[in-house]
Amino acid sequence: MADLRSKQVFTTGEVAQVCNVSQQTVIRCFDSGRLQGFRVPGSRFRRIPRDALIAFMKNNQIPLDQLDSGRKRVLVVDDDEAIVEMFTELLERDGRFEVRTASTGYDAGILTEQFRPDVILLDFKLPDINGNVVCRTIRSNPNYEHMRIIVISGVADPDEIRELAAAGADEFIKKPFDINAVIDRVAEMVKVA
Amino acid sequence: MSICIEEQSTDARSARERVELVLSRLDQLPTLPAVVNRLLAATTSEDSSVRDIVEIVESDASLTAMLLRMARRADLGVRADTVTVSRSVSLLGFTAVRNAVLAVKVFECFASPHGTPQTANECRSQWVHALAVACTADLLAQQVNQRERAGEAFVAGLLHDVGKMALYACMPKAYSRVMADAQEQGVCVCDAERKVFGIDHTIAGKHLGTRWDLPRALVECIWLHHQSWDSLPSSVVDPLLQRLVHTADGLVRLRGLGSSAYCSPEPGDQPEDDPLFTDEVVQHVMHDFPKRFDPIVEMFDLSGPGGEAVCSEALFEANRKLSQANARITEENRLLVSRVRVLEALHRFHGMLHGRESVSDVCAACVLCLRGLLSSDGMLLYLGDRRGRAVHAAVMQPQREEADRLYVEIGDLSEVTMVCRGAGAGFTPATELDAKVWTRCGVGDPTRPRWRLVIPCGPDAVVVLVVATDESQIATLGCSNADLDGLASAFGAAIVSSRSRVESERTTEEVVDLNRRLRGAQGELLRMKSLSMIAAMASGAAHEMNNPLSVISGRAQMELARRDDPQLRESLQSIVDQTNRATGIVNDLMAFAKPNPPKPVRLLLGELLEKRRQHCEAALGLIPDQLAVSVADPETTIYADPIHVRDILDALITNAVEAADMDSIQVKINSPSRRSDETVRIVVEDNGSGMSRDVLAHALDPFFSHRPAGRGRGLGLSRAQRLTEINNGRLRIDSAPGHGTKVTLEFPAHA
Repeated sequence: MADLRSKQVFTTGEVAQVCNVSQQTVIRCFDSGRLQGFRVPGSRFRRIPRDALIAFMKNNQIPLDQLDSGRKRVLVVDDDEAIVEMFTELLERDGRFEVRTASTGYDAGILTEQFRPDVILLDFKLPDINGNVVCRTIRSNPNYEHMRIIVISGVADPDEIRELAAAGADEFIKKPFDINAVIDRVAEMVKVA
Repeated sequence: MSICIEEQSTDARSARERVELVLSRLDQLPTLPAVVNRLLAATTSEDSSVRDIVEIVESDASLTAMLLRMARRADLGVRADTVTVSRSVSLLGFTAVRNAVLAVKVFECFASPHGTPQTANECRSQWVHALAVACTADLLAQQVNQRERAGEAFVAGLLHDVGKMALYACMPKAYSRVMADAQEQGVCVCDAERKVFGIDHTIAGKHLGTRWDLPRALVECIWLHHQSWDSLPSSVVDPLLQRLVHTADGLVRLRGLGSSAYCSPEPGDQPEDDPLFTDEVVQHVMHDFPKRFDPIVEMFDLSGPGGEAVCSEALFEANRKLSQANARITEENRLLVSRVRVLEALHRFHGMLHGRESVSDVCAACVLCLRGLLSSDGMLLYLGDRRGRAVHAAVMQPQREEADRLYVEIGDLSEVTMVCRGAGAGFTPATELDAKVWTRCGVGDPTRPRWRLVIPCGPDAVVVLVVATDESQIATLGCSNADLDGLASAFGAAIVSSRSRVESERTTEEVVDLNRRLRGAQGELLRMKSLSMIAAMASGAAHEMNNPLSVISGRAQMELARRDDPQLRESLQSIVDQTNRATGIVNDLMAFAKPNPPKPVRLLLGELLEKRRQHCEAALGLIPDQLAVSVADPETTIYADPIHVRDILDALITNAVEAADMDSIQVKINSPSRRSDETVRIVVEDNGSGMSRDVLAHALDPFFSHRPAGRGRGLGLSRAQRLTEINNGRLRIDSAPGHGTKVTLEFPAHA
């Protein structure tokens, strides 16, 4: 059961389990195209990717709690270890969040795809790439439309803030910060999502 | 005639003997040279060339000489030394040559070796008469459309009385008697001749002609020239020729053509109206005669006295040429003298210059130099720039030794284009512009006639020398335009070189000044760069510090949420507070390093200063009057970012208050009246102890604080200066120990 939360590809049986329907229904949905998926090459087995499953479930108003732990997923991106550790501890201790971390823009990109965070806490100055580029890349992908981006930075240049907003950031937090304020803001954002 | 017949019958034999005698005498005359015949033949023949004639002529020395002489005399524009026989022949023409040769040769025969002046005279008269008849015959022939016979007619006319000449040559005394008889007795010459000689001149002529082998027509002419046309024997070969000669002879005698001594008409010389020669023809001939006759007479040297005349004429000519040469030399000499004067003047001029004088000096030297050449009632040399409005002027008042130097404004120099066109023309009359400058410079009497000499000075400058003097003075100066041109050029060159030297000096001065300012600017730039570098460094460091500060603050906050121990909680809170403070410093540093770009607007000065006063009074806890504001004109505006200005003023006021005398704080803010349209000044003064020179030198350095007690962040003044500068303003600190400190801000008044 616990696997389901991190599984990326499902069999028709697993889908049936998650959706609380019979396997036959799943097969029929699969064959009719209402459930997207693929066949294992060289065999007749059907496979359903996670996002297809989620989309299907959402379309048919099937509750997602079996797939989902209910916790919001937060991706923390910062190259400073101490900051990252602090955030992770802060957010996990709160209990409402599931946290993954990345220290470079590249890792951030990969994790965004894998982890599908609801909120990204993004440090502006990353070693390999600028924060606003990351913003823009994420925003350019329609699949990530629902993700909220909060940029955290030491700089308070109004021009830069404007730039970031234009690039797609939803929020801006200055370092150092009030931790409670941060938590509240994060929670607020994901409620909307 | 009756007389002769009578005599003949009684004295027939003796008469015939007498005739023989005469004829034999005639035979003794030299024969006509063969050359004459040949020449006659050649010149009348159609296929002879110049070369043939030339050959014939050159075979006889005397002929050659005569021909050459004739050519020279013919005044045909031939140079005496290049005349050759062939040229003479070409120039004179066949006909003329023939006639000349014939005449000369024939008459040469009769030249007697012991000629007396009378005989010479007589010869000449005969010549003239013969020529006259020849001309007349020629003209007659032309008039009756016998042009081609005209030449022959001429010859025939020339020789018709050869008999007379022969008789006269042989027996001059006898012939003189004949002449005398004829005149006394009023008989015609022929009769008289027959009486004395037994024959008349026509027979003699015929005889001679035959002997000479002249053409038959010619001989018959000579023989029958007294016969009228209707009584000619029918055996005559050429009746026309005879008629021509006969008529010509008659005409000459009757009308006095040629006015020879021989023209007394003879009885029997009545014009028998030859139908061929109408009155009209005769009129034409009369009309044309002088034109024809005179040149020929001249050619044969018969009109003038003779050889001596030529000689004296040559002498006269030589004299004339000599005097001409003399005049020329005198003239050249005069020019040279004046040129020497000009050159001496130039030498003096160059002596006056030593290479370092100003333009005015050169102008003065020019005027002085010219004064040495020309006396006048005042001289002025002015130099103007085409683009300018003023001129340098050097004035030589009459009776003075030194030239005055002036620099006057004339106004529009647009006449300049006209002015410059005068160069090279020597002295020309002065123009309106000259008059204007003359009056402005106050030279002598402006109404005197004035001359100007344009001095070439390049395309941009105009230099004119104006002189008040008479035309006569200019004339006595005697310089040619070329000399004046040379003088003007020398002046012009000196002026040009002095101008360019002056200009280069100005340029050098400017360069030195620019250099100095450049050093200042470089120093300034260096300071700003180092400041920027510091700022950038500070900013980078600050930025880096943010992360650890965040962690410290965050962790402390997290612990704060977990711990209950009040002491621990106090500790943790302190940590959080201090990190915030540290963050404040960091932010200040970063703001200092990279202030926000200014967004300038127009700010009312009065309002601005009053607001700041109020704010600082409150913020610093001052009592009224400790902080005083006075503005000369509250409506003045400055153009700057309001937030920056606020920060600047606050920083300055804070500093001033802190520096002021603790017992009686007195800080004054004032804005004095404007010195210029471009900037507005704001001054903040305190009555503190002032700063020593060392402190003052570092007052604007970041983090520098001399305050013994208390610690400011040390960025106040530095930041204020930086903000002022990015708003296009300036900040200056004046301070001296014991005199307090005065900070002056200067902001632009408008955009």
